[in-house]
Amino acid sequence: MSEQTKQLERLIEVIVRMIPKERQARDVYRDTAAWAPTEMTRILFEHLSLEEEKHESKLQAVLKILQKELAEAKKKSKS
Amino acid sequence: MKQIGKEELERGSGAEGKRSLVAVGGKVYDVTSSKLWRNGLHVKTHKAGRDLSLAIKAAPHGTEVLDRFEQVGVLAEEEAAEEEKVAKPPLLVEKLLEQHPHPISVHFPIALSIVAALFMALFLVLRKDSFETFTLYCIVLATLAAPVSISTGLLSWIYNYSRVWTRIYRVKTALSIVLVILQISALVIRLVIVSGPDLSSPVYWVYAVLALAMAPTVMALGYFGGKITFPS
Repeated sequence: MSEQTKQLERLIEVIVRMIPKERQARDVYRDTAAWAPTEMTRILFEHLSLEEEKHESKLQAVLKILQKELAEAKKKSKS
Repeated sequence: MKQIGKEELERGSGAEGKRSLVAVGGKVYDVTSSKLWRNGLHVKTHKAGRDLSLAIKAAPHGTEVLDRFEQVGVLAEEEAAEEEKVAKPPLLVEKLLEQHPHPISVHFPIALSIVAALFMALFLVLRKDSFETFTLYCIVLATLAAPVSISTGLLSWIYNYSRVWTRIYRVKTALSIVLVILQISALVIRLVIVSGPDLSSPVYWVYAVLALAMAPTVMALGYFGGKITFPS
């Protein structure tokens, strides 16, 4: 396996590890916003929940890009 | 608005004085005037003449940066990249995954396999038959628990970890297969071939080695599982 392939795999492993954590953070903030005692805290946690959702979307997009790069790198090293 | 096909988009590569075209979300923009798109290259990574819908999702900025550029067309329908949705699990699976079935279930084969190996080692040293019997019971239970761990791990891999097939997942898969082979081989030898603890039988020693080998196997599985879950 080439060095590039190894690095891409490691990057993918990092991303894949973090995606569920972003999702969990989103759910925690959203659930907290639901019972937040004040308007300010409700808005704050809803905002945080949206931010985590954006993080997850970015990570999903990065994952797709890296998977394509990995497939290309593997093809290159086979040929 | 003008329909722009793949070939026309590719001609907008920004190279050799050509204009720089980028497609995002089915819309085609002319970014030639941007200093950030000199010669059709953006931040040394993204090339003009392509559909960058996916790339912009991973970017530190959003699509608002395209507001300052002229939209010169729309991607011809057959060229527009379909938005790939992230696979959502069925509701039952989603509810199951919320209960963390894999982290719960793995403890059983891990603990039982280690205890089996420990009591096998104690039996080999102390020659107490009750230790040998207990080893057998642990292996039986570990073998029954393994499919639950493996199937919950598979669910987790599909829905939590996007089915990526990198080294760590290959290693875990291989170790799971090794564990199942060790367990089934051990049980076949102990329950079918040998009649009881018989240290004079070479076949029994194969069983003993299989039982002992389960411990490092499950520890390795636990180690790689920890690497997936926790940042190092």
